[in-house]
Amino acid sequence: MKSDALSRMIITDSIEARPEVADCPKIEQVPIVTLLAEAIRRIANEESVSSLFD
Amino acid sequence: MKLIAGNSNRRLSEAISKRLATSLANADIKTFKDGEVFVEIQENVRGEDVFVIQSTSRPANDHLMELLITIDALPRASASRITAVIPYFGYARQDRKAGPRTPISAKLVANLITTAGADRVLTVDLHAGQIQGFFDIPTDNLYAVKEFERRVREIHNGGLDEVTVISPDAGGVVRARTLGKRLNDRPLAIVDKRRTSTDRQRRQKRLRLCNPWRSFRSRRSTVHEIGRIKPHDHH
Repeated sequence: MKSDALSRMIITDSIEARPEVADCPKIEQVPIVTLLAEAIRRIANEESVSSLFD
Repeated sequence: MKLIAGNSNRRLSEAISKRLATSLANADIKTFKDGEVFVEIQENVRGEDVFVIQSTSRPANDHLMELLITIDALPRASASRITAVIPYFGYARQDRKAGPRTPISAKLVANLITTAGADRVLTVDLHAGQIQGFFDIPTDNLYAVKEFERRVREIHNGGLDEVTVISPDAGGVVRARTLGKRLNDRPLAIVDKRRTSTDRQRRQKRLRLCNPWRSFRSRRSTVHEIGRIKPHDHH
């Protein structure tokens, strides 16, 4: 990540960031909480999960 | 419904529980001094629909054992249904025999999760969708493409005309194409990565960006080399 070739890296927060990752100004995490919470809600309510992606 | 969080990603687990207007179930998931994992669910789960949230990220084996042992405790506590929520599914890349006398660890891990007592699996952007077939229980594989799309649009809010989506290898093509389509159908490029036996000895790989832009040998990471490609390399 110290290379000039990469200006920014966007990853999800599926893995909790280690301090080196959290402190790296080039790396940002996009949250997937909405996605997971909605899928869990649908499974619990016996609703379709695949229709999340229609 | 009960949510139980392993130790791999407490932050995400807390966020999920908040979003679902509930709290994480009290559970003690710890490692003894000899390295063994021990789990104690500290509230009643009888008849409950239980979701165990755990990424099998580094340290992959410890996190996997936490997941397996937590699941094991649940049918024994009369939970009615157990869903393993695995935001990052470790070992997924070992999904085929990469060479003679090598394992298919993704299949073994799927067997372990099922044997432990999971009734369903929920995961995100599985390395290869076919891994769902390693399970004989229902699996849901979610896609985080909308999350990436939203962020890329924020960054390029002046327009997406300069955006090309590049898949670093053949396995990522479907994901890259889906993202490109969502980004006003921007073009897709694919890195063709291969190693000959001499490359293996030299720990280098050959990369060719198919449009084609350029071809090169590298010892550095694929992502690093992609970052070095300049717009004028495009013909």
